[in-house]
Amino acid sequence: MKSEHRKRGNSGQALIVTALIITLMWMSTVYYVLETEKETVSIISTADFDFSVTKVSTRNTLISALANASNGGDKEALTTDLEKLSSTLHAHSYEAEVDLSFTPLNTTPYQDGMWISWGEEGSGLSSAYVSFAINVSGSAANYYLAYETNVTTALHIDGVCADEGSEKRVNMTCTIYDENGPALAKTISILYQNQTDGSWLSVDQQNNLAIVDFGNGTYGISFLAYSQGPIKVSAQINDLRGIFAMANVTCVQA
Amino acid sequence: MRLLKDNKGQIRVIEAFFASILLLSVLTLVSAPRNAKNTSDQNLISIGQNALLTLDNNGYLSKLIENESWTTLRECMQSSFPPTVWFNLTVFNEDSTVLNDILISSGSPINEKIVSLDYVCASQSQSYGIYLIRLQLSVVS
Repeated sequence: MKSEHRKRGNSGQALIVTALIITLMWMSTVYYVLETEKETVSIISTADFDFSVTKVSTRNTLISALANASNGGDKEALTTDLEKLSSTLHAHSYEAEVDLSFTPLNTTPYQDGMWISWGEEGSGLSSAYVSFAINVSGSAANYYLAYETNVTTALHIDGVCADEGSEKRVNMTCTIYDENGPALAKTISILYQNQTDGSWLSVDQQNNLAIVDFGNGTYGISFLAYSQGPIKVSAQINDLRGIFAMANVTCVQA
Repeated sequence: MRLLKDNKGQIRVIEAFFASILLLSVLTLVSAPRNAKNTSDQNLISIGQNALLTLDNNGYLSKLIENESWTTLRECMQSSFPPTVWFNLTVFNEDSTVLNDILISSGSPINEKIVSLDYVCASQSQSYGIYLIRLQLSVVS
C-alpha cells in the first residue's frame, strides 16, 4: 500500500522532468531557427547597420596619415593610426561588437598603403590605399562589409617661358585633383632653377608673381625669372585637407 | 481495457507539452521588451547621427574640436535640429577626459526621456586624434 502510494507520488516528478525535457527541446529548436535567421540576414543585407560612421572615420584617418607622410612625417603612422581607430571603435561599441580590420595595399607602386611620387615630368602624386573589413556582431544580427578607401592628391603642371628684356616671363598652368576629381589648393609655392642642378629660388612678389584661381582646380601662374638658359619650375601644393604634393617641369621656350 | 489504462500516460505527456508551451510563452514575454526598440528613439538617434556625420564628412567636426570652437559647434548642432529637439553634446578625448569647458546644449531638457548616442570622430589633421562625442537628445513634449 505504502509502495503504491510512493509510486503514485513519483508520477508528479516524472511529469516535471518530462516538461523540462520538452521545454529544452523547444528552446533548442527556437535557438537553432533564430541562429539560422541571423546568418541569413548577414548575407543578404548589410543596409540595416549604418556603416557610414566607420567609413567616414577610416577615410579621415587615411587623410591624416597621408597629410603627415607627405609633409615629411612617418609613413608608418598609417598603420598606427588605423590600429588606434580599430581599438577605439571596438571599445565604444555597446549594442554590438564592432571589429575593424585593415590591409594596406602592397601592390606596386603602393608600399604599405602609400604611394608618393613627385616626378620631374610635370606630374606629382601622394596617395594612400587601404582595404577594410567591418564585422558587426549584434544580439539580433551579424553584419559584414568589405570596402576599399583611396585618398589621393595629384597635380599636373606645364609651363612656357618667353624673353622679356633681361628676364624671362614664365606662364604656368597647375591642375590639382583628388580622388573625386578637380580639387582646390590651400597653399601653392612656386620655385625655379635658373641653371641645371643650381639652387632652387623661391618665387615671390619680387618676381611679379600672379596666381589666378579658375575655381575648378586649375590655376594660372605667371612670374618673372632671372635666367637666360632653360628654366625648370616646381610647384608645391597643399590641398584643402593638408596633403602635400609637388611636381617639376622644364619650361618650353615660346 | 488495457488501452484505456495506457491513456493515462498519454494525457500526462500532453499535460507536459502544454506546461512546456506555457513556460516558453512566459520566456518569450520576458525577453521581448529587451529587443523591442522605440521607433521615435531610433528616429532621434538617426537625426543626431546624421547631423554629426554631415559635420564630420569633410573633417570640419574634428577641426572645431581641435580649435576648441565650442560656440561654433553649438551653433552648428542647433541649426541641424528642429526647434523641438533638445540636445546636449560632450566631447571626450582618448583618455575619456571631457574637452569642452563650456556647455554645448540647447538649454535645459524639458522631457525626462533622453536618448544618448556615442560617435567616434577621427581627425584629418597631421597630429592624429580620436574624439568620442556623446550626444544626448530629447524631444520637447
